[in-house]
Amino acid sequence: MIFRVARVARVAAATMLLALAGCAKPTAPQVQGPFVIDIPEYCTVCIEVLRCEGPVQRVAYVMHEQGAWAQIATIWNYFAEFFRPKVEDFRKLTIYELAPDMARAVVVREGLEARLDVWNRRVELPEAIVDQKTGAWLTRDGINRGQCTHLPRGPDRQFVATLKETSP
Amino acid sequence: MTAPKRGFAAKLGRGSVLGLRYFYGLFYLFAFINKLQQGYAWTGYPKQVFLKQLAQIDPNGLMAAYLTGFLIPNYRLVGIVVTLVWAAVAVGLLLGLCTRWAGALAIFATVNIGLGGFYDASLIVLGLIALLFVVLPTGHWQGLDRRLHAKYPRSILFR
Repeated sequence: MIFRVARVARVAAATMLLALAGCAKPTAPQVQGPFVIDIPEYCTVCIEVLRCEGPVQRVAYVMHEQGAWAQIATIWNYFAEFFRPKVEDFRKLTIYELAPDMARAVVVREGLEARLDVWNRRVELPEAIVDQKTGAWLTRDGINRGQCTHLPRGPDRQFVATLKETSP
Repeated sequence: MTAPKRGFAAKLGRGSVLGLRYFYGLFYLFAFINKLQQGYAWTGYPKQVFLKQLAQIDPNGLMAAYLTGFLIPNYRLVGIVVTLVWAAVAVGLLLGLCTRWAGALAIFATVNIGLGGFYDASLIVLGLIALLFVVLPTGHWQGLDRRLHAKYPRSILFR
């Protein structure tokens, strides 16, 4: 019986590997660095803060660390990556519309989601796209609306704390 | 004398642990192949990875100290050790050879991954799964350990 169960486990593993192998790799080559905005897609405990500024609007995008189950799921992601490279990831998102001094929030929108397009190295936000290669802040239609910077570790958490304190 | 009959739950438990062992072994095998493709043991790639990681973590924490004090200065040695450890865990778990030691090596690897700043909840799960292979005689259930233990009953390698 033990061998039968082990055989079932082996067949299940083989089926899983075949299914993974069947997943095609994207045809276009992956966009390579260096990046103005370098977001490590496997860092599940990182907070990413993008501060974007254009002629008419200033916005901070805060992508939060992932929950415990999503962190545990990275085991599968690492495993599956051998067969099919990771092409996207999703992060919980808070958008802070900033005052002209860029130091406090005037509008806060929570409970949103950002998509990391890992293959094309873009961050897809509800009303914008950020090109990680150049840091360009674009509309969803690709029209330029400004430039984004990626806050370094340490100052990013301080900045988020300030935004939380000053938000309406 | 015949072995006592086991219940379905026990059999299912054993099958599950063996399934986990093969999955874990494949996980390390794939990681080992990646390490070979990256030239982890003979190029400066580990140093690049460690420097990039250093920029991601609290510069005053234990992990930053481990990176700057040990991993980065010894990146060549670390690259070789990591590659060998990954290979040993993969072979041990897939073949059921020195299985408990392979589990112990996997725990050692997991702790070092965490100390290197690459920590999240997945490491707890990986560490606990590896602990199963240390505690349970899975190499005797299925693997080379059973035969080798019968041949060398005094050896601690195949227990």
